[in-house]
Amino acid sequence: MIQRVLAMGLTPGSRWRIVQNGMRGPGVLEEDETRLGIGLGIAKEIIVRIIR
Amino acid sequence: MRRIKIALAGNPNSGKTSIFNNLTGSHQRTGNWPGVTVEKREGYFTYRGIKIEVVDLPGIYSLSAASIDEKIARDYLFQEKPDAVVCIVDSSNLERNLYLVMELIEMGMNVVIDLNMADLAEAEGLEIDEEKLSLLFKRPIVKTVANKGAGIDTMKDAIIFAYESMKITCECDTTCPFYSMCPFKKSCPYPSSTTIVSESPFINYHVSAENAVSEVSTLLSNYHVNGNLRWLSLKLLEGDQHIMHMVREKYGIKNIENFIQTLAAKVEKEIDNDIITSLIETRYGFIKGIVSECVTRKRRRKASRELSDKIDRVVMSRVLGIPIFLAMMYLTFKIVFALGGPLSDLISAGFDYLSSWISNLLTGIGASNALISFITNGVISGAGAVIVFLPNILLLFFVISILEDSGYMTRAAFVMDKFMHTLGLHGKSFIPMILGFGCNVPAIMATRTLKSRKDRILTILVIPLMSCSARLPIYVLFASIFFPGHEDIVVFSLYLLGIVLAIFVAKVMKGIFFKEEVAPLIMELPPYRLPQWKNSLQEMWLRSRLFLTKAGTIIFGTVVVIWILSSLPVGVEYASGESIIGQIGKFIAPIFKPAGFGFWQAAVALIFGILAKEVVVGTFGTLFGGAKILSNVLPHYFTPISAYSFMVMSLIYIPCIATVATIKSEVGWRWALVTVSYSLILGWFLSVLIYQIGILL
Repeated sequence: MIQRVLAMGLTPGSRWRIVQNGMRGPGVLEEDETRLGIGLGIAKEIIVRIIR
Repeated sequence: MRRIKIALAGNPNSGKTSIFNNLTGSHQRTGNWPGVTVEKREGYFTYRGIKIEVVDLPGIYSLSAASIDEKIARDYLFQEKPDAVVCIVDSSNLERNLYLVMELIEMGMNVVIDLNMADLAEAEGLEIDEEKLSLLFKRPIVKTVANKGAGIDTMKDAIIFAYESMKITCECDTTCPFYSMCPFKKSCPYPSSTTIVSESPFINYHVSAENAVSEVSTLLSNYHVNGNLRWLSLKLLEGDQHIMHMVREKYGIKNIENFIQTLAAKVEKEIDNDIITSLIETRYGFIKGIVSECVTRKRRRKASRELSDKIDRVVMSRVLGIPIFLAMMYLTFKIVFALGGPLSDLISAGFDYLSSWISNLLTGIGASNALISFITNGVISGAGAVIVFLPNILLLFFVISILEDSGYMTRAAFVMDKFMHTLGLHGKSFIPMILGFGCNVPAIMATRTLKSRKDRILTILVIPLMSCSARLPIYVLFASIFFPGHEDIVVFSLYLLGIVLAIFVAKVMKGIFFKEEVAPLIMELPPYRLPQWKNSLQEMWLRSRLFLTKAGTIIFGTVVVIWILSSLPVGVEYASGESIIGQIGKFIAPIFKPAGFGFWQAAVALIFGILAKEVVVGTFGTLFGGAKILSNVLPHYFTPISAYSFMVMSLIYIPCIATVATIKSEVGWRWALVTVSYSLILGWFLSVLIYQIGILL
């Protein structure tokens, strides 16, 4: 799954803005022209990577 | 005529389907990729005397095989080695899209880069220097606006150029027919009159990673592994299990896993980062560098983006997201069944008329009763059973295509994801489930929008539990006779029971067949766009044609078999208790005794209900001497409890033959049999449970 997250551009150092977290779990991130909808599982994955 | 084979690759929502439609026109066919249920599209066109066969690969973000789509695309490219790959790039979102281009180039593909949606990029104030981009990637680049058909001929030239560039003698001047898309032009690094050999831009990874790549390449070379060794080495270092399996089994490198793990651990220690992140980060770094050199942004942001933001704030909001989604589904449901219903009735009436006209004609020329019955009850009814669904299916795919093109479908999946996740399903599964209330056949076809095979099969397994419109006549008949004044509550309870059972079955099936976790949701949310009518109409026809050819043959065959069973032995009244089907009814009737309806007429009605659920009512009418007297006759056979138990059985037991045939054609016999088996067992068990508890109370 981490390949998918990274291939979508969520690489360390890339600057993403939280556009919305309205669905109580899934959220929307944005970087330049890309807007990604991410589920809860992915959000956890990203946090784990940040902590590491 | 010479033939070349090309593949179309690209991110989802990059306009790949529009390009495919523009290139191939009506020369298209659809099917499934071997061994999987993902749709495969192929087509061809002829240009400059060359027949160019086009394969439309699934929409993907990378070649990491993280999803079934990526695996299909990668396996196809690796094994089939197309002469060229056109990578469709959304010009308004270059970085994300160029990542796939980079992966294709690294794989050694002969790539043509198509900057699609060039008009959108321009409108958003993006200026792309495509000549520079072409030079840096060392690949031909074309600009297209697929929904307006602009740039398609240039793309055809570029495809031929990419193919021919392997062997043409470069003239390096404007007389060259491919001068306009040549990435080198006057700055061609090759001396005049030499053969161009496509070169790849070379990404320099971290020195430790490069050393590891060399070590893996040497090992692969020692075992005479075929293919692009650098790409294979990179994928192995990224921990790609499919490639790992391939080199271990095909080339007998038994210790490959340990070798890679040791090497990756060494690299990770040296670079103080994990190797997957490092490799992907480097690729993005390379792309960012190219984009910053070739793209200039004139304005900050375009109004269409802001409009998308505004729509999203409402459509995906915490309060309104789900109600809006349900309203959209209701609208889809209405269009498909309110518009399609009368058309289906018209077709049905047409077949009835045709049946009676042919019956009269055959009687007039003295044909035997068996032949008349075979043609009218077998052939015409069989064909009618298939074609009667066509209006619903055409409308369904038209609406789905519009929702997909507009960008709403991804939002719908996002909005429903959390709820569906708890059931072990994908957010998008909700759409086919809702459509199942209208008709299970188009609902099963609608699961084609689900990319994961597991999600698709799970959704297909539970769709037959949604009370389709064909079950309504059964509910109405029994509810009005046995529960007068409470019909609405009774019918609603059956609809609700279907949903509750779907949740239960999804959970159980997931535990039995698909134990792994649901893939977490990560998806791109493209800006809203106006759908293209031509595209939607083409999509609608392609998918409906598949239904007619595949499901049609199975339905038709089964109808004929049932006709034979209903007409034998010779001389017996059609579908009577003495016919083979009647005998079968008498044989199985005792099974339904614990459920309260252990008489052969109910068994025969249920058997015929497999043809189409509404036939249950018609069969009772035939067996009891007419539909009008059913309200007087049925209370002699049923009590309110056994009537409810019979309705529950009608809801759950074996789906109609059209549904079974569609499941078979979509995901194979295995899952069709699983559906038939579980629904029969569940239906019997629940109806017995309801009846037995009912008589105790």
